[in-house]
Amino acid sequence: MRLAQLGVTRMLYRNAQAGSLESGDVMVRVSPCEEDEVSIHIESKVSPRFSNAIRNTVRQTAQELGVRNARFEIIDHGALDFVLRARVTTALKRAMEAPTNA
Amino acid sequence: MRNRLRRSMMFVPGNNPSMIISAPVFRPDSIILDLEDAVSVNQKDAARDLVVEALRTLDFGSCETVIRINGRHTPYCEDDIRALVPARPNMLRLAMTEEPEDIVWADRMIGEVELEHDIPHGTVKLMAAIETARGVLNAERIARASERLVAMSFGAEDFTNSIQSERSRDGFELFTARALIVMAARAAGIQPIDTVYSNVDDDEGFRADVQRAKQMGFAGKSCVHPRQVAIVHEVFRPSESEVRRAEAIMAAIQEAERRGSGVIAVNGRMVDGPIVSKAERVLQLAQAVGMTKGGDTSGN
Amino acid sequence: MAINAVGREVPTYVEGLGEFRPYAGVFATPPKGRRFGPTIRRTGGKKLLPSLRAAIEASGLKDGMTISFHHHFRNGDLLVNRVVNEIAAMGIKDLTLAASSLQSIHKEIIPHIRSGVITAITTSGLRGELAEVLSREVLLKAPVMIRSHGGRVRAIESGELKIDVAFIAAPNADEYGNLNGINGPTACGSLGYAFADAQYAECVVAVTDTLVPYPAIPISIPQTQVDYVVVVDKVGDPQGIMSGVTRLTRDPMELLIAEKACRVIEASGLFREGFSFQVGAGGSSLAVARFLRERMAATGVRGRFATGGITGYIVGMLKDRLIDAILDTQCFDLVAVESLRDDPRHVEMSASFYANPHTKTCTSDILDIMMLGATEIDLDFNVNVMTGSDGIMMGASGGHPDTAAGAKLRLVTAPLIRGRFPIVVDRVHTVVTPGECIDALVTQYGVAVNPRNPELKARLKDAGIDTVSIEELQERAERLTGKPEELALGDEIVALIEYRDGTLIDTVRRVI
Repeated sequence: MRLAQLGVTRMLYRNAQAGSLESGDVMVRVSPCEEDEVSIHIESKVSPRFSNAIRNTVRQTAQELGVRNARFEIIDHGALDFVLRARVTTALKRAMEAPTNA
Repeated sequence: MRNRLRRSMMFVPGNNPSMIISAPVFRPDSIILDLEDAVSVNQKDAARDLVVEALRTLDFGSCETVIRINGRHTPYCEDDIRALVPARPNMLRLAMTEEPEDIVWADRMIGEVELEHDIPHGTVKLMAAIETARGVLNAERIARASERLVAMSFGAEDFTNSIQSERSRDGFELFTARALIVMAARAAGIQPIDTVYSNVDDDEGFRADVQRAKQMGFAGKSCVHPRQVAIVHEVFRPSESEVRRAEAIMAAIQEAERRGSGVIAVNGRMVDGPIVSKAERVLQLAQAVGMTKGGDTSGN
Repeated sequence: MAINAVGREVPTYVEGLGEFRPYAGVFATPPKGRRFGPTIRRTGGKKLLPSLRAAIEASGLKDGMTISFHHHFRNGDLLVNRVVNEIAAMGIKDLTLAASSLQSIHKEIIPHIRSGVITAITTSGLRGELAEVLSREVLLKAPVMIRSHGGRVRAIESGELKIDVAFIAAPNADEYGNLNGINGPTACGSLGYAFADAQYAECVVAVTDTLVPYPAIPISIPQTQVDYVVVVDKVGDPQGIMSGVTRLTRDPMELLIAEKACRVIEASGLFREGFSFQVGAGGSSLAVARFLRERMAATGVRGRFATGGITGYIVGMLKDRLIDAILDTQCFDLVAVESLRDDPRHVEMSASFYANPHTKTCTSDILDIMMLGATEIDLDFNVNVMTGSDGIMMGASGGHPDTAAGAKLRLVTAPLIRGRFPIVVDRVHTVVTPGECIDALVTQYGVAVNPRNPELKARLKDAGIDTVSIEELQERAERLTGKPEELALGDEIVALIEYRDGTLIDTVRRVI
């Protein structure tokens, strides 16, 4: 969060995912993308009533972690907002891990 | 609160959103969000993030929030403490405690994170889980290792393995360990909590196990399923006559204080220290199940 | 258009269906007119025909007519698809499909809807892909007519719903058309929903897989009503009637809700010697029976009868003499089928006897305790059991509005949140049962009593049961889920929700 406040941008090094396909959970897949943008694709039974909420949470969580360019695929099974935030956080942290072959 | 009721401490897998969300409706005294055994090695980070968000967001009502963190000698323990303390759970339960130093170390580490995040020192309490023969034999020193420590639990699954035995239905092989843990904890003024009973379909076996634990002096029981919570609360429910006697004793004390009298008697019997503390304990249990005036009527 | 008594805008005229009155209150619209009677016919001796096609031909089925079916096989039904496929092959089109309910297995008729074989549907419920298609596209000439079980039989008896050819799935029958549901390898138990079809249709075709020597006994539907008999390899899959719902739940949340509901029942004053009750087959509703049973054993209070769809659990209560009788419109599992066959205290009941508001007395008006479900319930206690929170049809009106209208204690049990959808909402997407028929909502986060029933609230208070307002429950749910966004809907009406008395209580609009 402090990083974001300082305007630091953090890189994603790899594709990553977090979460599950269980009811009440969400699978978040994230991949780095070239363009300076956050794109979000949502697959969810609740999207007719919560797609804006889902989008906002994903964007905000990415921003707090200083991530500016990422492609998200959200496969949601009715996850509450805090669950989504946790899964996005985990997926981004995993994607930020530097390559291990260094 | 140091000595709040901990009759039922219910485990909830730390990486399962639905179970975390629903846990408070079963009204266990404590909810233990588990980052240890219930979470596979490759999901430790995800469970940690999920539990942190849950603590920041969910209303756990009257339930105490306890996080079972991974043991000191795992690669996750430090990360667990660093991530969780800022989310202010009521307590951390340190798995696989074997030496007083484990508690001293965790105490110091929690203190550092508290300081870093402007959280008053001592906010996050600690609970030691004794799960090996070595832990049992060190229980007395562990129980006195930190001011932060408020309870000590017994984990029988790993323990039976450590003494190269197997769990039986009557738990004969656990007797000595249980007794030592109760004495170590009680001597140090902290609460002993009994081990889980993992056959969730065996209500009667579980009930007998809880009755035995209560008789041995345990303050509560670890639970692995919501249905066990109600059974624990039933077993710990004081009888009507116990409650009335306790109320009479407390009334007599108040009356004596009002008159400035030093000697108190109820029904012709002297009331001394142990009787008063038993009465207080009975009333605390009675209040939790709505047996006293102005008590909780949740039916728990 | 008009605004009805639950504040919903409903049409007063619908092209292809005619004029409608708006819902005016639970018993505000009295019956009128005379019962409908089908043409008097004499089929004579030769009723057994060699094939389904021969029977359809003999029935005189033509373009524009109405065919009917009953849903006792639930998702194991094989007849609807088979008959509609046959009719399509014969080139007959523009038919009204009048089923007592439709299940997900009926997605097979979607192509026949697209091609104009089926152009109108009336049913109690819609599920699966068929429901989804009909929620998103305007494929029929008129909106789907959703009727409760009591409302459907009322419409048949009054002549509003005229059936030209009724197809009865008969687990066994004789060559003159006497039939029942309790014998034979595909026994499904009660045929209660088919009675009116047999009695009022112009032509009745019994389809069986087990032909028995005359007379097929006991006689549920008699030879006097049946025109033709056809033998096929299998009329339905009895395993399908269970559809995985009749096992007693082990879900701790559902059990918790059921236990709370049982405490409400006990405190209501209706848990007394000789009481009657109905529980559904699913989740916490059936689990209520378990806790009732425990309380009956503990207190010695015995019940008199249970009604509705019947499960093995209720049969167990009959066997153990905790109740004296079962009135059964539909068996939800094979234990219930066996009991209906072997136990004279377990009685087959017609839909009219069960729930028709326009009979002298229906059983649902006598009932003491009714356990109900909900996909949504609103601050007025209006209940939706027809559409999901996404606006897509996925359920059934069933006996919900019928039993809620007459029973003395009407409890809705539901988890406060499903997926991310809160169950308590400002306005339900679809009103199926009006809030004036609901006494309380029981959730894991507390019991909300309808302010229309202050007596119940006082009784719960006396019993030490805390209650909350329904607004508090909504707030509690939304704190977890967030406030749902507005649903995007088209202008087209894809279904009409008829109240049991024939008035319109709501409409379902197309989901974009």
